[in-house]
Amino acid sequence: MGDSDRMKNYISDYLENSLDPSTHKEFEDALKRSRELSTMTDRVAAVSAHLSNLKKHTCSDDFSVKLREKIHTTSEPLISRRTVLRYSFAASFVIILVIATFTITNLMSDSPENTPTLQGSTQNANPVSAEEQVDPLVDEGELNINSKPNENAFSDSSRVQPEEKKNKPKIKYVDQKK
Amino acid sequence: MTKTQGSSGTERAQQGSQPTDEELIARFQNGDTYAFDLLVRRYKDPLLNFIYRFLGDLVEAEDIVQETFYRVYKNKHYYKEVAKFSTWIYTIAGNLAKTELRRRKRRKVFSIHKETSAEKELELPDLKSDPESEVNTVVTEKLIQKAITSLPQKFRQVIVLRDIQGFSYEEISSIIKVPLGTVKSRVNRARLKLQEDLDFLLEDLENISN
Repeated sequence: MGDSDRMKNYISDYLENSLDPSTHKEFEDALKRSRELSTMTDRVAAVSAHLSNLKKHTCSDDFSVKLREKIHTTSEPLISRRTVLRYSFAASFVIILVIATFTITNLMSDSPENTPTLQGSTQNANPVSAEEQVDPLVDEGELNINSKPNENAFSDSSRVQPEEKKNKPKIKYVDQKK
Repeated sequence: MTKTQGSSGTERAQQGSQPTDEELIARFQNGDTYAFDLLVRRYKDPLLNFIYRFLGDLVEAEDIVQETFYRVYKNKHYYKEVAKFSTWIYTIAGNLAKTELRRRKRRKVFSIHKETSAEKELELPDLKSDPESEVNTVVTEKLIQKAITSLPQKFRQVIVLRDIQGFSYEEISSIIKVPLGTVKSRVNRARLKLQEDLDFLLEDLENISN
């Protein structure tokens, strides 16, 4: 790149006084030496001045009215569309929730724990209290104290002491017809 | 070479008792539509000139300004006070203008037709009521506009923002999201290209003034 080409890059900075002092001096020296650079600098300044003095156009008188119309006609459907979108999201969420609940409920009722065939095989399906559990070391044939777990021992006639049987008052049936 | 259009409403507001752009947009974000009207009043003409110089079509430029304000209205909550309002609105307008240019490229046949009609306009200025000097001004303006429109897009954008809109290099850098050094270089190259393209006109103007 020649000196003149390099100086061309500084034209705008020179015209705007934004060159550092040493480059500014260098540019001014180049201006004195090169007529071409001098003419070019003058013309760039003229172009810039012409640009800043170009006619300023103004918007049409009904600009604001048209803008208001545009805002109202375009934004109203947008709002309703947004509302529709929001409601459709909510509705689809509710539908999904209902379907999910229904499916989960069905799955739970059809689960293997609840099927009759396997019901007996699982101990945890119907938890049994410690008293009710059968001790595998005890022979059920000899002693089965847990065979009637819910039965009141005192109401069991087989377990009533013979003496108590003797003391039991005898009931007399009286013929009331007489 | 001075700043011409004072671009930002904030600067103008600081001089008087008018609210700044940032205050207005904050009020608008809180539901004050009158603040939006004030912003429209403040920016519609500078934006029109920016887009018109960029596209070269006044009707299209006004449509884009409308669209710019519509986007501001619709997306008011996207504005955060980290950037100046002027930077934000010019970025929106610039992007819309670039989209329009891309659309034009796709409809090239239509575009060629438009250019032809613009050239006709250039050849036959309305002489009915204008005095000679005014005709010269009109022709000069049309020639300058044609030269601006023929610049590559990246140069056109910076030269319009700098020399017509009067933005600082830093502001242009924020608007077009390009480093400061690149902006300065593009402005210089755009000016050099314009002085090259408008050589004959500048020569004539020099002769007239001499």
